[in-house]
Amino acid sequence: MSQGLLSHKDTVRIRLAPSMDIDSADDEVFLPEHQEEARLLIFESDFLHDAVGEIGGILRAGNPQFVTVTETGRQTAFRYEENGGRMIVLTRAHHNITKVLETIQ
Amino acid sequence: MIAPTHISPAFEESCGILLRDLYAQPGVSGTCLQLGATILAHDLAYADAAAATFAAKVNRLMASYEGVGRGIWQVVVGFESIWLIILTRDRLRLTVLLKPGTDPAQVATRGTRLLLEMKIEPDPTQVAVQEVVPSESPAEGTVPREPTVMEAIASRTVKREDFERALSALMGRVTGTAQATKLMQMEFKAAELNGSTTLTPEQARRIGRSILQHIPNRGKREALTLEFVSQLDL
Repeated sequence: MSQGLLSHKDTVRIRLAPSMDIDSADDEVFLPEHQEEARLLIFESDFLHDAVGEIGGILRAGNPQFVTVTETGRQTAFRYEENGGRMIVLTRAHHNITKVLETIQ
Repeated sequence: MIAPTHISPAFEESCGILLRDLYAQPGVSGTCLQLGATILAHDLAYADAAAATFAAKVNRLMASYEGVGRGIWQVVVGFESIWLIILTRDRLRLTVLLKPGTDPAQVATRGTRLLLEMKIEPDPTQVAVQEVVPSESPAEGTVPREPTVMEAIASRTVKREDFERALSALMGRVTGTAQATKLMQMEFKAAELNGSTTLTPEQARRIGRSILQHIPNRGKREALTLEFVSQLDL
């Protein structure tokens, strides 16, 4: 996984508008060779929002505000804003939650 | 539906130790330990049916990542009123509920360490626990709904025509109906299943993945495969 978007930078950011269009992102995201991975990340943000939303419904815990996925070689953080906008931050390092929450603000 | 799964007393004791240790941590308001979708122990403040549905959803979430080869070991979810840490190792899932704002680092460390110490030692002569299946069964007096195609697949068999219809819906997002049909015919023929009217989960998984491999765009292919695996809970 770290051979793609994270091959040149330790942290890659994508901000999505409520329309799900990319509002802003690091330059790497727009490179042709990384666009598939970027699209997959955006899809993953949707998939996770729905999946954890179902879990939140069972727990009556309200709407998901953020999700972090920690795996071999990278950590992905998703922040879900009330207006529908989203922030996606991909990092090579595994940060603790305090740091992650700072990162995705 | 209740299916017995057997665990050893040592394993059961380990579960108890795990939960007690985690509950002693500040901010912890609940824990759930499961093997796949089977709850081994939990102290969630919810009815068993809700806990079972919760466990099934957690398992489906983690399995969807594992199904595409991603080595996930921790997912943290922040809701308005609660945070969740989901730790996973093999098919063991440990979920810890935290009060928002609690630093989960220590809990995650303890949970991971204890999860690594857990040993799955099936012993049919020992204690049995019940596999609690999602509480999507209807309440008494209501009409049972028809299982979806994907649920039918998960329950071990599916009609081929239903499987084709479901897969066509996925493939229809990236290709025409005729092309999707042709691909399925090719794959069924290659698998020597042309005469089959039902499929086992293994056959459904193998054929589904083979068909999805024909999607040229890697991003779309992986996305649809993720969805396919998630829906089938494979």
